[in-house]
Amino acid sequence: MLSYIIRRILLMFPTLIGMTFIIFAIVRMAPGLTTSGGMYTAGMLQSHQSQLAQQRFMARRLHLITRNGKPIPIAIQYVRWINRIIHGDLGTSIEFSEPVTKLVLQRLPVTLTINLISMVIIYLIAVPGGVLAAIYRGRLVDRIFGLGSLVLYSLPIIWVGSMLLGFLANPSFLNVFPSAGLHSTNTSKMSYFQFVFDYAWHITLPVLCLSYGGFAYLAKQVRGSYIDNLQQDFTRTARAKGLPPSTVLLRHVTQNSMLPMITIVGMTLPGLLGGSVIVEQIFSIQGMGRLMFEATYARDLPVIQSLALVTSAITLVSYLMVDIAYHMVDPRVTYD
Amino acid sequence: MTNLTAMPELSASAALPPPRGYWAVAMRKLLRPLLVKLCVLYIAAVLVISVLVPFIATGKPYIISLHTAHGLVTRYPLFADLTTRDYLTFLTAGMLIALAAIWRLTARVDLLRRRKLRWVSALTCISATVIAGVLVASLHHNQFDGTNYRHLMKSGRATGAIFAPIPWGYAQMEPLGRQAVNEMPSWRHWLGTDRSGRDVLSRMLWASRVAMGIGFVSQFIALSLGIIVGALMGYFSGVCDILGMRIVEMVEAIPTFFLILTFIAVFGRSTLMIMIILGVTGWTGYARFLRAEFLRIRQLDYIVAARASGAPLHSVLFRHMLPNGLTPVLVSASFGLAGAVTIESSLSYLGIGVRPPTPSWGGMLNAAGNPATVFHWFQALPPGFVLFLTVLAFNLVGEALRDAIDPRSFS
Amino acid sequence: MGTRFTVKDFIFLLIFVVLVVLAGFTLESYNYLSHQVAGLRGDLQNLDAEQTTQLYLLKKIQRDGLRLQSGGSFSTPSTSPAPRGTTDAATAPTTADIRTTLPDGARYVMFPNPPLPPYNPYSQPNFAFGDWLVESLSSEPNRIMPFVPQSESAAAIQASVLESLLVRNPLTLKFDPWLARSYRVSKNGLKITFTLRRRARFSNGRPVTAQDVVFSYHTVMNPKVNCAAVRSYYVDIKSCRALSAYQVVFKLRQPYFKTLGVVGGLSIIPRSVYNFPNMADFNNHGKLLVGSGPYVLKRWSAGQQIVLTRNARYWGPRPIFNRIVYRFITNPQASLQSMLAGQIDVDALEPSQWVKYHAQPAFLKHFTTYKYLSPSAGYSFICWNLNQPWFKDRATRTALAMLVNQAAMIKTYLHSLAVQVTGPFNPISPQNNKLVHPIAYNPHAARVLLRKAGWTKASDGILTRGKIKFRFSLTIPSQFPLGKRMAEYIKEQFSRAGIDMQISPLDFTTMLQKINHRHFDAVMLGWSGSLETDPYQIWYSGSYKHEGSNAGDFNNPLADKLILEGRRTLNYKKRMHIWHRLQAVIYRQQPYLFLFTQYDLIAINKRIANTRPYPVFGISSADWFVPRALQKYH
Repeated sequence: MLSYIIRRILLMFPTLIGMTFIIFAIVRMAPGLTTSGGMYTAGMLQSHQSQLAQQRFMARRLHLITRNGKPIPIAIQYVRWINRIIHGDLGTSIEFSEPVTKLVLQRLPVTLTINLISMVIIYLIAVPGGVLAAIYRGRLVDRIFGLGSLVLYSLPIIWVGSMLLGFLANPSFLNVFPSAGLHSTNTSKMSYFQFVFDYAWHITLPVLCLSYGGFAYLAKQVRGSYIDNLQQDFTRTARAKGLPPSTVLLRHVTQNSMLPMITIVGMTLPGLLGGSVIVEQIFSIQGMGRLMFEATYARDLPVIQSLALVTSAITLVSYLMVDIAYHMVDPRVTYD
Repeated sequence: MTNLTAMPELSASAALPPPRGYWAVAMRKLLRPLLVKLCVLYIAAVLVISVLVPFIATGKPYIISLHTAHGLVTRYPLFADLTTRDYLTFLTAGMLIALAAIWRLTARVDLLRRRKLRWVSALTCISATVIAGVLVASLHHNQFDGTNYRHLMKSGRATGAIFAPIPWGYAQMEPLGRQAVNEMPSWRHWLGTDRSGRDVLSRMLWASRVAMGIGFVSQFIALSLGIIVGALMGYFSGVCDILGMRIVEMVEAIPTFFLILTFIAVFGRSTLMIMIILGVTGWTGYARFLRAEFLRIRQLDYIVAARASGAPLHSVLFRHMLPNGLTPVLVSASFGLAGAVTIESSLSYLGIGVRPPTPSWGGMLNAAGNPATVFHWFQALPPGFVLFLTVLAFNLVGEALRDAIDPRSFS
Repeated sequence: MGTRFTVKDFIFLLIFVVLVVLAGFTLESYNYLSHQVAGLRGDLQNLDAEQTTQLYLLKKIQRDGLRLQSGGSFSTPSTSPAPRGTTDAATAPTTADIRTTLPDGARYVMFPNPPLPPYNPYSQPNFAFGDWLVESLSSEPNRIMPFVPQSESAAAIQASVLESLLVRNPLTLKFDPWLARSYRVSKNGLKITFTLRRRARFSNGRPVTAQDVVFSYHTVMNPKVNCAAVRSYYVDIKSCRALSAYQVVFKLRQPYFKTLGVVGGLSIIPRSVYNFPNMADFNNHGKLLVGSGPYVLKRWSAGQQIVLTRNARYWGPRPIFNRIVYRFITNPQASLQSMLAGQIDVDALEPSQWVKYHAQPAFLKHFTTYKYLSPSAGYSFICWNLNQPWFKDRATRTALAMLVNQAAMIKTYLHSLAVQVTGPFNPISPQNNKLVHPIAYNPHAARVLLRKAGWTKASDGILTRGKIKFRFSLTIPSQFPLGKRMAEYIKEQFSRAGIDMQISPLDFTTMLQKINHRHFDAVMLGWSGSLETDPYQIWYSGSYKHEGSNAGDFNNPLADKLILEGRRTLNYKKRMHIWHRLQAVIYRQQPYLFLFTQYDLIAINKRIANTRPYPVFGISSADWFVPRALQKYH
């Protein structure tokens, strides 16, 4: 078991390193990002001299040049970047004048909390739904379920989000939900339960937007794996033995259908992270997605490359955890 | 004879365990194929519209008679107004139709001549299109026609105009003095006007061209990349495969939307750039898929037999395996298309997609109420619904196709 | 581990997860409570601090002669008794404000006490200290340290924390001494001497000294500090020197009408806090904001709000609110929602919101609304790059202006809540020449003018002159929806006349880069304004070089002459006359397509009293208070 985990972690490193290389390469390909000029300035009223000083400042921030203004070879740029990452330094944002690490630590919990809540909700609804559909396979329930989940899966978040925002959080229509942020103004006067309620009230619409797509996807997978197992010999044997259907379902089928559910945990998280860019933008939530969007708008390259790195690292770690859980459930599974 | 062969099938289907209700059977027999048919029809309609939209939604009349100093002059503004891009679109569409026709017509030809016939005619067709395309691009100059024909008609300076069914261009505004912004649907504008006084229906139809264009081109790029990488991995296997798979894993590990935003931040945006970006970020699935198919087919008896009989591997692989392995990849491109359409509209919604005034469903959604001071639901409903229908249609068709080629997953 | 995963395991797992979640909740609730307790403790400390303030105030009254009246309000400065001996060399100790011309021709102004707001809240009948002021900001500032940020939201926050030597009186529009007790401008305007108030303190308790003023100036001028925009205002200053601990003198290279505002408006920052060994580090402390102002930065909850709390050791008149809270609400719909729910007190409305609510009785029952033109609103425009072949001649530019129906645009897109500008000066500024009338919308005349300028329709329908086709691209900032709409309208109008305009939205940084390198045809932007702007930065021909702000290369000898003359002229009336002539020249030349300036549309909760706006400057939160009965935050 332990050796498996260690081997799996070791195997993660080449991927991680290659990934850093890809991100580094993309960002370094940016047109205009040379040491001689073409850096970005954030103001209109500037003398030439100060502009040059600022260009040098920006180039230093991306660690393209040394303090003396000499360009650093690309290989060394890369090694230094990696070295700084290892020491927990993701660079300094151009737009926010703050260490990127600090920004990420501020924004990451917001996004992760919402995503994890969405994930729990997805599982709570999708698993029973999928099982029901599998049991009533081919009947009307299943048909409706199949079509319904495909419809849900195809609903664009931007449409659902803007409709919800427009109809349910709008003084002109129904003013039921808040349209922005995660907390009300007067949180300092609230008791803990009021506070939690306020939070829940604020995240209802965003979580709804994040979860319905994943719900459809997971339910379909659950249904598929249940159907597979319902047709297996061991199920027939159990039925033939005269066991009650509920026992067959719970003991024999469920056990064997756990695997895909675990795999999908790892698959869902990256998708949710991507979706949170849109959802956080629609509902004005200050999370990672919005940070990424703002950085894209401002071409804040240090932030962009760090965020791409952080989200990919999260993805890799979630894959790793899935694999370990998989192994714990079914030790026959190896890493290839 | 017929009776005998029918027997085993009957017994097999009788052995399937869960009995189905009457409704379910009816639904299965009726609804599913009907739905798929509807979806295929819908997609075809969207494609036709996106190709022919210059003839459907434009402010230019097909024909008009102008009163000039030389008397009555007949003009064809709509046809004169077609751009190089329009002609290229028509050519591409025509080429695709011709290719499909060739495929269909040669189906009856005997096996030996069929392949040669297909190759020759397809190549002729493609090269003819390319030559025509180059000619059009070099010889045709876009006309720039800012005339307001509606105004000409009203002021009596022109007669006998035949307008398009939706007589509004995607960027054509009602005069500001009319206060015709954010109008509800009416006879003049069937789906109302947007916040700049432009016809929502016309913009929606034009947006279908943007969505389909970006979807198809980006998936074409992704497919080409994916097939090349996947085929290489599956063909060489061994070290090449391991390295390739690591690359695929690395690219997949970066969440797609973040990767796309990174590309946009670095390289800027334009319609072409977004096509390329979506293509460059979307190939991994295809590569993975084709590789798996290749590795699976490699083990199959007929390939083993072919190799044993002395056929070289590349001939075996690319003559026999690629056509077989390609079908599921092409089917999964249907899902890829749905994804590309969604991402394109999301980018436009966020304001980093295609440039104004080019319409996009996402951009129209954004314009309808974000940041919402006044939420114009009648502007948000149609483009969102069409976007949804398009994505749903591609997903449904993809699902049906997958079920068709992989009976195991068919319930 | 060889056993299979059974239902029992699943149930165990479930119970485990539930337990972990419960534990998490408990921990979180504990955290939350301790957080709350810490907050309360902070408030208690504040209370303590308040008592010390009372003591401090008493002492101050004895020392400075500020007298507390029975209502708890301060007396007006002019009636207060004499302060202690003054160090001003020029005059004898006095009790009243002085604004005079000295025998050597220098102007001398001395206020023994910091001036109270003209609409004095302290003397209102129902005046009370306390409560919070909750405002909404439409964007969260990325940084709020002094000098560096250029966002409006950062400026709003800094206004309550940082102070400068002088303040402009919103009624008389003259400069009154604030951190300075007195100032003297020499007759030729080349030397300004400030004497600081001895009792002025930074919020960390250190006195505001001449050294701090010198330090602030040197910080701005330090090329390592990332504040080129602010720096450009100070280029004409030759030196800044401390004469004594409380006296500082600025010397100038040449007389300049804005000097007093520029020097007197310099935010004074404590040397004890900001003196980094390597001043490049200044740029890395985006959240460090310490000044001498009435409020101090208490908390910045990223993505939510910034809380300023009363500076308990404030040296001036006691701050009215206990806290000022700035909520970041980017979405106008959401901020209106919070406003209606009573969660924020002040909000700037969108034109469409204004149209809907400003006459609604239900809304007016709870909120006061104000609509006025503010000098800081600036104006928007399209800048033609005059070096490009299309925009070289005046006739073409005038024709382009005639093609755009601005009145209809303002009516439709902005619900008539904007005013067309006729030059680079704000319509309410005294600089504005009311005799310059906007070019009227006249597409027919425009076509005639274009033909006269040599543009004829080629076979492909585009206007052509020689070999040049009238096809150019208009760059707009991509996060500016209104700009997009206007650009789309203008494109449509131009296309009717045979001009092909492409719209290219760019992110702001890339756009500025293109402007600085002059890689553009035309660009839509806005200049922010002030009561009296200096046209040199934008309109002087020399400002084209070195990536200056004259991006379109406007080069007109008469305008240059007027600009240089106006900058030198210290006499107000003469200067205004020059500006009026300059405006006529610029508008005739049409280097920009001048668009409009928008009204400020403000809604304020009725709970807040004394909110009436000043004639030119509009509302000022320094006047506001909440009567005791209506206070809701304690």
